[in-house]
Amino acid sequence: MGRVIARRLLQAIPILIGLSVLMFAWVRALPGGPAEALVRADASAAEVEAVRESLGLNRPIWIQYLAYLKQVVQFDFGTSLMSRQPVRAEMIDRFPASIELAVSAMIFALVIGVPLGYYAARRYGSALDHLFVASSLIGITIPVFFMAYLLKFVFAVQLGWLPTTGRSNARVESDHPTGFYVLDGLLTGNLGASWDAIQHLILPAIALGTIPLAIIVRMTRATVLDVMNEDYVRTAEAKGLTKFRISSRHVMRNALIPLVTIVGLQLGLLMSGTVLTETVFSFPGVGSFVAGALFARDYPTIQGFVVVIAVMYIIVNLVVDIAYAYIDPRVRAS
Amino acid sequence: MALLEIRDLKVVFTRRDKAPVHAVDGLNLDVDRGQTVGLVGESGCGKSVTSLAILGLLPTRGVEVSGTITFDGEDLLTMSDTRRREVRGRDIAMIFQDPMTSLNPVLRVGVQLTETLRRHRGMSTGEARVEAQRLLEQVGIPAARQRLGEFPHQLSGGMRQRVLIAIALACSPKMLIADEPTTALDVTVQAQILDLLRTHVADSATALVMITHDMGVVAGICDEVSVMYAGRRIEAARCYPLFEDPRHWYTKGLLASAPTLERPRADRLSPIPGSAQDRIPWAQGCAFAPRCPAVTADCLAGPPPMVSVDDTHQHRCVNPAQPHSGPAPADKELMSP
Amino acid sequence: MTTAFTDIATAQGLELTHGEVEQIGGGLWRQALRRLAHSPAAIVGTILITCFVLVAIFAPWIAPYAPGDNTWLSEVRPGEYPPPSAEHWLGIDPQGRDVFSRLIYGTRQSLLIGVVSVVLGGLVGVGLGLLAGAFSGWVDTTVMRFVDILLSVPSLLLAIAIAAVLGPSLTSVMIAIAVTSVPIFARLLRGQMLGQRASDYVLAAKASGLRRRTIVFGHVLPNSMTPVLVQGTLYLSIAIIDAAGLAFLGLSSPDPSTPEWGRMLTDAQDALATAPLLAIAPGIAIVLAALGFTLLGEQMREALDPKYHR
Repeated sequence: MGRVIARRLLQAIPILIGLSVLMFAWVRALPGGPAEALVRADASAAEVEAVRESLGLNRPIWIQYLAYLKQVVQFDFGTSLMSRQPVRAEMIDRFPASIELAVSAMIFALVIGVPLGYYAARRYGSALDHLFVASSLIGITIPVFFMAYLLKFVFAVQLGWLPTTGRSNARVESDHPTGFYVLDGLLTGNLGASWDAIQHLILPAIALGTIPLAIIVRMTRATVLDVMNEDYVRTAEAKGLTKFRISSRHVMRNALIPLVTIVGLQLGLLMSGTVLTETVFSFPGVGSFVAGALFARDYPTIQGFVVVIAVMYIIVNLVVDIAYAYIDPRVRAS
Repeated sequence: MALLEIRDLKVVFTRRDKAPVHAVDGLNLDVDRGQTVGLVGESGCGKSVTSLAILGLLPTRGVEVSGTITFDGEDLLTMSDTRRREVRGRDIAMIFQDPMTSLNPVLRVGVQLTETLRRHRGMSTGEARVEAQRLLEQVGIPAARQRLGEFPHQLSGGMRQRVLIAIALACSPKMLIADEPTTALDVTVQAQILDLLRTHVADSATALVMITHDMGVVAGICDEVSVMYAGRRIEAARCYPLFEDPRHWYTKGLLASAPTLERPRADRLSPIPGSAQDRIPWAQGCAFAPRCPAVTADCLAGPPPMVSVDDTHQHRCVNPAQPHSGPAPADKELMSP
Repeated sequence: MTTAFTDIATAQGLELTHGEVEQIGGGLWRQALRRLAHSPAAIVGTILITCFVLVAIFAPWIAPYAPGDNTWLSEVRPGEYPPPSAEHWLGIDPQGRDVFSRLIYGTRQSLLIGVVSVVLGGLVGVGLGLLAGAFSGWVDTTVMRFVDILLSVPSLLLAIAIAAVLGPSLTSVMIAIAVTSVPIFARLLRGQMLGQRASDYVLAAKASGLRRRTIVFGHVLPNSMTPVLVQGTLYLSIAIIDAAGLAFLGLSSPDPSTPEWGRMLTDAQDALATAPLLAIAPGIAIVLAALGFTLLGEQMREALDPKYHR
């Protein structure tokens, strides 16, 4: 087990180095050059020169690269042009909201998707199976922001069941020790605040989770169909085990293996998808902040977001690889 | 009354837009307590389907099953799913052909063995573990205790088949069905596995149904043999008379196509011409007629009845081979199907 | 349970009748076409795609007005938009333009972006995959490391990053989407080629002394291209959805009069409560276009893959 982790970590190193070189090149390619990108648009030539000097842009390129690496490792991306605050502080403020949203979306996709996919496989060829397959196809082709619009229009605007925007109701008193509002409510014993946060999460999470949901339904259905035809399931049947035991231990245990990869891949997509969802719901996370930065050409912020999400994506996939090895003994051994 | 009585069993696979396939077509078969019965035939003759029908493991969609399968006084075909799951694994156990794929790759050997014990013998986890170790030792697996904690991919093919046998024997079933249990194994391992099965059947009161296409396996282990063709039994006898004195031309062909040590090596093996798909429906006559070297007009006059040679030997041939009549006439032209 | 059904079916001779066996000689593509013609999903996909292509070609004749024509600005007040009428089938947007006309012209944009970016990404990806697949050793390693790095960034994020560097324009959207598709095509083609290279007919070609170039371009590449074409069709749908997303974020053409489905959704944001059709119409257009390519692509994959038709 330890060897598997070590090997995966080693494999990640060249990717991280390559990625950092690309990032470095990307920052230098940003409009106006790296110095201009880090100062206000109306800065004078002398100010730009001062920044160039302070950034060491007159030094050899590999020293600049190392200096850049040092910054990235410290998550130092300069000052946001929109808020005049350090990008790092803005990110730290907003990340919990986006992580809470992405995790809720994934939970929604898993809790609904796995049972639906399993059910479709068990009823292979039935009308319900066809319905699930058709709807998951549409689920994959619905743009995140359009789904967000539809949900907002129907459930927030027309029916008024759920809030249209934001993370919490200003009238609900709450403290935020962690920044994860649902968790905060539970920790401070303020269940009303948790419930308020959940209500604000439902629509954005469903919008963001629709594509992973559709993918999970299709994937679960396909793998369960495969696994049900395996010889070892027939052996389990021949042993006279109960239906529940066969589906939970013998079928799902095997069908879950490919699902782990999907969840890892989708979490990365969810984090970048927050840019679109949060914009529609004015959800105060990194996503909506970066969407604003894109309109305002706030390059330090964009840069910070890209770097952080890319690093998170690599870490998540590393964890997934390790989880994979834990679930599948054949990988563990090799 | 026999332990297992199959009467007029029919299994039909129906497919959209295509003609239905009669996999088992009016099969009768008895197995007594403690008896070892061989079920022999080419692939596609319906022997595996029969075993799946006995255990109720056939798919529900696209399959029609009729007739009766009485096991220990109960009809397996009409009993409830819950009841069938109680009988399966406890009273009837099965060993499948391919040990490489028949064990769950992500569950430890111990789990796969103890789950049967806990389900059918009501053992606690601890008791089941002790018993599981005993069972593994019984089927000749060294370091049994350690093996319980291993995954199937850590075991060789022969070891896995031993594990599957241990699982099948876990509840001392009244009947064990072995579907080609040695086909996927190395020749040396084959002999060990057969030996293991033979010892166990001899030591217990377990009846064994050995499904195989290998006459050598039959000769080594079976009391009685039933030969199947096109979903029906075409000849049944005790082991020795069948080898000495086959009456049905198909049985004769099957025996002649297998190499033996007694025969001079210069003799050519005589394979049965054609394939199992060149057959006619039983309703029109003998299904083997298109491939039979001794076909006559009578063969196509309707379904041939079961004829008794003596108390233990029956066959379904209207123009049976005579005792020791020599090889079939080879120049006879084959009928087209 | 469908346990072991296929095994039994095979053993029972359910496999192939003689007629079916003869069909297999008829060429992979001809056979696939025959299958596609019998697949309702493929037919629906083809009809959808054909409709969108026709609309794109004949946009000036179908659309009643020009896409940037804001003659009706005076009829629009904030929070108050004229409902659909005989003159304006889908209503008027907040900038006083005819929504139906913009939707029709938007088809051109979407298909153009989709096709250009997939062709561009496909060419580069196939080139890289060809390099990696034809040469083993350091060429393969270098190319595949690069592909791994590109794949280590979520595709939407990569597209956003690239579009941000290039500045908002139609070209940058196309390049951004093309780049995200490059690693997918490269990896696919390389995998296919490795599989083909290990196959018996390539060994035979090698044994008969054919040159590497002849083997690669004459045998391996043609046989590896089928999945690439399928992937291209499927990627068209992703390209259309991502392009709409980038337009929604203001990363597409800086000219606000450009009719784009994604931008139409942005424009409709404030009108959602009073005139939902302004958002629903372009949204459905995106879904239908993406659905068309997905349906056709998936059916093509099934029709061409021997695994699916037993």
